[in-house]
Amino acid sequence: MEHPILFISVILQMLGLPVPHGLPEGMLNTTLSIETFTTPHMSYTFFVMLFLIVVAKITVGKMEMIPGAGQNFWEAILGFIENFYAENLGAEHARKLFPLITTFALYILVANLMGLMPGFMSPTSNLNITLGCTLIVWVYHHYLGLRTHGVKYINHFTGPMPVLIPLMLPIELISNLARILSLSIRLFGNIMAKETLLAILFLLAGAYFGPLPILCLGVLVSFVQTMVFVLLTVIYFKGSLEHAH
Amino acid sequence: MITIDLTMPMQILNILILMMVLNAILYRPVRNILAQRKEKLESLATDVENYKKNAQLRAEEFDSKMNDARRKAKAEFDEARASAQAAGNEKLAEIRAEADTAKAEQLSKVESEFTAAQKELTGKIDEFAKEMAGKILGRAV
Repeated sequence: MEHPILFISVILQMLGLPVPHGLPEGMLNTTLSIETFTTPHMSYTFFVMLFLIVVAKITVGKMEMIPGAGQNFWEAILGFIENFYAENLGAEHARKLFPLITTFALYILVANLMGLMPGFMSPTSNLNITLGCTLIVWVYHHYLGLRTHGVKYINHFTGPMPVLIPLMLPIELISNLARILSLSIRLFGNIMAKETLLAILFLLAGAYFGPLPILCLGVLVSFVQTMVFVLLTVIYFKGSLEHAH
Repeated sequence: MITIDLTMPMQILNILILMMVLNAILYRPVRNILAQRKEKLESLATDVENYKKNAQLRAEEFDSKMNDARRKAKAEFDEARASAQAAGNEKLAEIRAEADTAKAEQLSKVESEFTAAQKELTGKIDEFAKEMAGKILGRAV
């Protein structure tokens, strides 16, 4: 989905940088060039990263035992998130996996919500972004499984008894590979649908009354999709850390 | 059109970089302070527990001392009462003995006086009879 006006792309163009607005049919961006960085979903990803880093830097000043407003906000959010991980993964794994999953949560939430503002787009409405996040989760949950169980990790895919291996192994492998599709395409599809619907309503129903209910719905979708991604990530990690039944 | 291109591996890199940066500037400091606060609260809770234990021990000590003192006071009181009772009884017996002696003396004195008076009067019976007869007859007998 291409937006009518994207502020960052306009600024980049004013700076004389080439901004690709969608690649021609069948042509893949296979060589690293300046256009790889100025593609709208990449430039907005950089914006989200910058936003998170700047906000974190501004709101978290000097750490004190009696927190100020910014520190209090982050303590409440991060404390709640860590408790949630600890309940599902155990305190030790929660401590180790906290930075990765929380980064997904913050990045996806800000990226989803950003598309609700005119002149901005959600980077998560591009499959490359969601697939990138998903692949980290997919590779890392197998790495965790292998590190925890060693060779016995294969038991996660062989079913409850040896006689069922010919049946269970292909099913388990396919269902595991399907995680990549389900995690990435769910997020991408939902956010792209929200963006498309908003763009169409902006064009057809005017600036305010048409898109307003969809904007409210968009806020809900943004939170729900973040929650779903984080929850599934936690479930996959938990599954790979558990003993095979 | 949905295409997978170089921005996908770049996104992987972006997320990993973002994770490291946020971990350094946000997660680690906030989690450290949360852990510190938890530790402090736990140590305070231990202190409170110790104070409570101490207070309880003191209260128990106080109670036992109070009980000891009460027992001691009661024993002394009982002892004093018993000795007072004994002294009182002794004194009473002494007084009673004195009184009995005095009474016996008085009685014997009264008896001896009575005997003497009786003897004296008995000795004067004839004289009285004569006097009475004289008064009745109107002349000396």
